[in-house]
Amino acid sequence: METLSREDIAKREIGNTDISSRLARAMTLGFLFLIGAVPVAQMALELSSEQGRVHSLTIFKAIPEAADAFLTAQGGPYRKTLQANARLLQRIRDYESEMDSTSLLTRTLLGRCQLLLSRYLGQGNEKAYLGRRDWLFFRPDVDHVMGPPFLDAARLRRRSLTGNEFTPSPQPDPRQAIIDFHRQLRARGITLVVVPTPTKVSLHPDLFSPRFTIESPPVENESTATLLHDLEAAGVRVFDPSAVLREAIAFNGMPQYLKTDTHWTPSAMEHTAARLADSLRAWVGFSQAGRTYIRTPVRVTQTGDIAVMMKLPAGQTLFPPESVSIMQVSEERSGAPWRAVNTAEILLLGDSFSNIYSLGTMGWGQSGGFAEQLSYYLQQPVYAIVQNDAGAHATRQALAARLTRGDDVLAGKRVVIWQFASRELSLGDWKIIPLP
Amino acid sequence: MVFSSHIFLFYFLPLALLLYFAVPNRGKHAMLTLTSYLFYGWANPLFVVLMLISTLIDYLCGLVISGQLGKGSSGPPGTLEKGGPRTSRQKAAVVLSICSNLALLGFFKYFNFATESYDAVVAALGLPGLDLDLAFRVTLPLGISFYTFQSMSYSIDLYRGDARAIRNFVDFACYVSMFPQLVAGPIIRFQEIADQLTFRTHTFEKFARGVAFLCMGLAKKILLANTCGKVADVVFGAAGASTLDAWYGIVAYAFQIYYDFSAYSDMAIGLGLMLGFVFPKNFDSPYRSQSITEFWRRWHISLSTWLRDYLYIPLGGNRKGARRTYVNLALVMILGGLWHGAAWTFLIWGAIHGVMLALERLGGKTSLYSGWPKPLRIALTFAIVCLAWVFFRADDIPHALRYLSALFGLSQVPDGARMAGAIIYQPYYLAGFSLAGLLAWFGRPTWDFTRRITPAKAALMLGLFVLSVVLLTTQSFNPFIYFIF
Repeated sequence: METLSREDIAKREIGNTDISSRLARAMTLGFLFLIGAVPVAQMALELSSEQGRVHSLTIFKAIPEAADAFLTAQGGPYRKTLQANARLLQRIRDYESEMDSTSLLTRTLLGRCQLLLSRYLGQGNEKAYLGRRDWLFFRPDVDHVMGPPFLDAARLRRRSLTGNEFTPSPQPDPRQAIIDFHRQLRARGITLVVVPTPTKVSLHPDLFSPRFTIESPPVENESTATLLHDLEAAGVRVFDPSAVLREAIAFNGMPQYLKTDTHWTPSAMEHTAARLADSLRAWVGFSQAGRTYIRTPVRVTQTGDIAVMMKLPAGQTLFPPESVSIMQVSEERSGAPWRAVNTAEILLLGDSFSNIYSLGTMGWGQSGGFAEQLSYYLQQPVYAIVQNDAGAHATRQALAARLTRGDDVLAGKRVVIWQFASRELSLGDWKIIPLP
Repeated sequence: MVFSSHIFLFYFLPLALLLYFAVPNRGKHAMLTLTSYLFYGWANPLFVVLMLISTLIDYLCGLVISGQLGKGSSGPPGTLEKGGPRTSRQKAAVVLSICSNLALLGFFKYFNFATESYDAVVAALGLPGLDLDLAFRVTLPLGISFYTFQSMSYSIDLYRGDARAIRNFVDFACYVSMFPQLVAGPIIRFQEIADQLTFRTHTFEKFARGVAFLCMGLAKKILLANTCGKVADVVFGAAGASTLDAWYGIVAYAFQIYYDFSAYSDMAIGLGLMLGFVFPKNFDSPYRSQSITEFWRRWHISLSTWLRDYLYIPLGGNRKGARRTYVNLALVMILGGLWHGAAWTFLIWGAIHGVMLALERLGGKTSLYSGWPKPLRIALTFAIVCLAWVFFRADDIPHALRYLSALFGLSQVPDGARMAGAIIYQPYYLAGFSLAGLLAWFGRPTWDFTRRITPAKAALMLGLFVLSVVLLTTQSFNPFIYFIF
């Protein structure tokens, strides 16, 4: 019996395609038209635009850039080659990313397709989950709560090995960074208070999954309890807003987070600030004379950041803007809006949970943020270093940079409040940052 | 550069096809090689140098093995006599080719694994480890597992007298680097393509068949693999799982890896056809297998035949007694597992399959349940394959053991993990999962489906291509699983 090679079998199968020559030509030309029309249309659009620049051709700039990187790099040929390669690789990645985002195809189809997927199939995207009753949840928040214990030794080790020659590995253990920071501050006579802000899905699991009810307790990552225990054992003060917010839900059944945004509602933030102020008064004696702050309600309407992440077409009504009332804080004497005071005894390091309702560019109003509310409830000035995102290290890094420049932000401080989103416990780079 | 990406489909592919067909026949291989190097260098430009060095070594070794080095001749070189004597130079050349390829593979793929394993062992003994700086962590070049195996097959086939050497370096470089199958196979053995490098046809029928394969492959990836992959990622990424969730997750993973890998193979075959090449089949409805032995005749056929011909048979195959046969089977599968990844989980995955193959060999190459009804044989084989996939997918051995506990209801489910149900039981994922299952067991494989193309089928396939492209706009990054090998 003849034994056919795999190549022979393949040739026989392929060679026997039953297709009319007319259809074969039509399919070929149809396919070539489909894949050729997209770049041609894109180039035509770009050439007719104001800039007149064809983006796809900009990749050729990568070669002289890499050559320049090689020539200007320090070290021997090997190191220079690595630098040039890294530059080229970065350029390729930026190019591909820009091609995707400026693509006519993407701009035409993405929003419409996503709207159909969300409206009729309940689908989010790579950054968002669609929960119940059109509530949106930030994926990293859900992954943090649902995922493996963030202090699991094997997981910490895996995370610590994720770096390569282009990207450094993260320092994955939050305890090391927090305890180190606590010790550095204690050496300066400053108390550290850590405020890990819970995620929306943690406090409202019933709005995400039918397996939970409004009475369900907060759902946390399994390592959260271990973290709190280890921090307290090391003498770090922890203020966990979960209990405060859970109480509020139990009291009035009102959501503590915005429907289509990652952040808490103004009332949840104010409630947390009020209770934190109570704790601070018990933990820290303030020697400064207070200031008198007053609050004025202001109505704000804005589209949630998760709704924006969905990249839906403008004017979509599936996730309409939300309207909230924020309490704007001002100084009673001057009537001026709240401002950070660098001689304050309190320093707040915060992320977007502190910035929302404070930083006007976030679109949720200003002068009504976490630092402002703390000031109001303590009737004390507060100084703040606030940066959206990377709560694990960004504000400590900014603090260290200020100190290095000779700006002694810590002078006169009795307490540093470090607020960060709890998802950073699973995902953040908890760099150990020495303070000058 | 990923096949299922905007930049590949609408920029690289049209450009590559345009350049390929624009040049005359004698320039096609050079053009294909250039575009393939551009394709490969897109992932990391430095790795192009590595592939070039590997190609050069194997090319020169090939000339030495075939006695062609330094000889100018217009005619094609002959094949060596099968089983005939070989000079020490020829032996040295084949050893050099094999060792250089294995050294490359060994260093780039297994250096990190070896150092981490060493550190783990000495740490358990209370001794200081190597604790190497991050600067010593080696990045795995894309496709190295594939092109090294491919290059080795060239040298070994020449040495055995199964193939004729290529005198033209460009032709050889084209064979090694050809972009359709460079990064994730199929592993194309030189003898499977040698004639086509000399002569092949370019016809509308072939191109249309290639379009059909590409469309089906892309649809499989976007509509089936990615959908099932999301379910698998959620369940495997959770802190725990109920029994139902765990089985749903592992079956979803089985579908994901099958559709993902067979999609890539389909697209590679389709692209090859567009360029006039005919690549062999790489998957043949593997989940319809009634035994593990049959599974390996249907799954990743290019790898299993490579392992059979270049490892199992040289080890003695089944010619050295029953006990040695079982050892050979287990060893080949363990090495096959390690080929997939430098981790103990891949080794265990390979070992499971090796043990099953040995047990089935003991029973006369049939399954242990061969007397059962056919649907049960298929179901049991699939269940065994799924249980082995747990090790393939898990992050590490403890994770795999926890997952296995969940499959058999032996573990608690933390509250956080209970949220997974809100995602994985959405109608969208259930529909995708169900369709994947239906097609895996009852659908017509791409090879059969595209054998006869009617206008309706052509419209369907192009329609699937358009649908896939539309959905692609909502997904920012779409790697294929086998890219990591």
